[in-house]
Amino acid sequence: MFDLELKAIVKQYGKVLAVDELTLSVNSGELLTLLGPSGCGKTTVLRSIAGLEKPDKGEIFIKGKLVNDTPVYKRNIGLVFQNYALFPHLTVFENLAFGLKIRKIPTPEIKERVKKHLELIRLPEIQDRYPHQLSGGQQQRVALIRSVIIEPTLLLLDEPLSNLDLKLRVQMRVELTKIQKEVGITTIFVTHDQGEAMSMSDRVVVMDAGKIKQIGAPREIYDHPQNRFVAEFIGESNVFNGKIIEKNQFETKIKTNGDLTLVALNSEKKTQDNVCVTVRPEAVKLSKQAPPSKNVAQGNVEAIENLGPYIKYHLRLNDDSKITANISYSKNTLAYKMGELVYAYWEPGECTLI
Amino acid sequence: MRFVNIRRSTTQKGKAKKAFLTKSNFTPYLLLAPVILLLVIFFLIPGLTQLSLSFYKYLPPGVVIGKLYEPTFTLENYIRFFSPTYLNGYFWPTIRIMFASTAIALILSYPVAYSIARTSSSKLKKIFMAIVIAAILVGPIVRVYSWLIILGNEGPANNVLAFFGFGRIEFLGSELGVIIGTTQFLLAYLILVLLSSIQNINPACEDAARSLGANSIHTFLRITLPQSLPGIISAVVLGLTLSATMLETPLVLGFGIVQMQGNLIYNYSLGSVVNLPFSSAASVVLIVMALTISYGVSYLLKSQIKWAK
Repeated sequence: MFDLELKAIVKQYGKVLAVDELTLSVNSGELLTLLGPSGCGKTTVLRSIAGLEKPDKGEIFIKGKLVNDTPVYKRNIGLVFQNYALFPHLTVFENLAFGLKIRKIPTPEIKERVKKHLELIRLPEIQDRYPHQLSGGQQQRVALIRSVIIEPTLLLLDEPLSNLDLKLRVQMRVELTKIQKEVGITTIFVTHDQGEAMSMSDRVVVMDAGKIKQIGAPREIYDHPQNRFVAEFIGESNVFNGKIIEKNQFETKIKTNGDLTLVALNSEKKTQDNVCVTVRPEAVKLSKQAPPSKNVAQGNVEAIENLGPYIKYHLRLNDDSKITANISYSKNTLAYKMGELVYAYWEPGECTLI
Repeated sequence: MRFVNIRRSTTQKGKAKKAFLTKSNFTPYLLLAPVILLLVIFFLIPGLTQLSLSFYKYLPPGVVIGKLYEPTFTLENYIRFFSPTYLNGYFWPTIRIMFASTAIALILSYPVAYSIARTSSSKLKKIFMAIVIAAILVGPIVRVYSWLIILGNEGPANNVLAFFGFGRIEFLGSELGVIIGTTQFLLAYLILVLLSSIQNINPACEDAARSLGANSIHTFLRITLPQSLPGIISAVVLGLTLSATMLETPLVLGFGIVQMQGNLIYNYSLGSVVNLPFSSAASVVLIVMALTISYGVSYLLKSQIKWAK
């Protein structure tokens, strides 16, 4: 049995179709991320699971029980908001005890649980403070345990890290995942930040325009994007449109709409099929001499971006298309100059056919 | 470590504040000069004049030709005011009407302000706001005469009551009628004050409370209402001070049977018997009473807020 099942969820706001026939199952103890650009419907899905929105069509099952008509306060769900939504008029202790008091938990046990959870986030001394006396990161962690302390069936996180500064955000990714695994709670995490999705999730659901584009483990989605949207949204991709001109049991040869002939590994596509070849910039290598590779493109360096650990070269190819290469940087790395004519090359295994 | 850091940063802020106060920089005060001048001319001087007038001795017409008072120090005006006739005739009714109409207006305006604050359509919100502001813009005479018609013995209010089998109520000339008129006058102001305070409450707090298991009533009582306390305080203070100075409402709806302190002041400064020292004393009492009550109420309510920044 799944902890959460969504069956053909539809939600429309006026003329905008926010969620379009979305079906999804979440395993017990899993951290599943809904990833997509803003307006893709991911928050609507989350709010529908919580009961804050009512889907127009479809069914929601929590632990096998249909909850479409169960009000929010009876669903036993932990929710963490982007702006934390801590109660400003209550102390940290009162914030944490709020859900427990409603559940008629005896006071000694409430104190015990609050203490235990504050230790979980390594902030044992803050229980008498008000939310505005806490830093952003502390508020974030209090909000997290406030929703965990009620021992919910599901934990829903709505972009919980996006209000933190970069360094703290990266720290909190690790901490959040750690707490999630320690508590062992089934979690659905909404974000538009692919770094968060890639680093934290057991599975990622990539969404666009109310639809699921791909579901899979982070690595699987990164290495085998099933469509152009996923290829371009997750990480970066060089994309070439073309047609398969030749194929054997090992390799597939593609003629691009430009002037290139590319070689990819075997795929399920047939000869004469129109395909999209995607190559990650970090898979592209550069050389001044013609390299002995099956995929070679020659072009001029058009722009150089120094990004710390790597340098991103933008090349304008002879057929006027573009390609980017991320070359990892160390002090001895050979640098290319603006306007220089270089060869870009990559292994057939780096090509993904869509 | 972070705990220590926070402490340090607050003490630093404290120091910065002190440094600002000790700095002798007069330019900001110079910029305030026009306002201060205006307040002195139109507020301080008349106020002080009135205060001194309240201690003068009243001269009935004809005692000294062309003189209505004698500038000596006497407490007779205050002694006269605090006699049962005036206390029961004006002072206590004023206080009763103040509290009753403020309380009723608060209860009625809160849900309205809440629904406007939580209206997601900005167009609808503007329409609601326009209606509220229109209620303020209605002239006082139009307002009280409308109530005169509505609350009359054969008016719509009594007809509705009669239709549902209740007896007719004499609204006019009763405190109830004046309270109704005053309440309606306060509503729009209170809605505006509450609205801005409720708008500051993060709606996600309510969602969070519900997700933690609180039903709507519990969420309202424990989350929304406490957070709107600052707005409620302002609304109560505004309601009490506005209702303390009612004049035309008791004048028209009170039929001379129910009178408030405003009527007393009006009667003795512009009415048939002109006794400026007495009406000044009544004014001073009114101001002191209104200020004391609003300050006291807001102090009591503010002591409930321990969480504000």
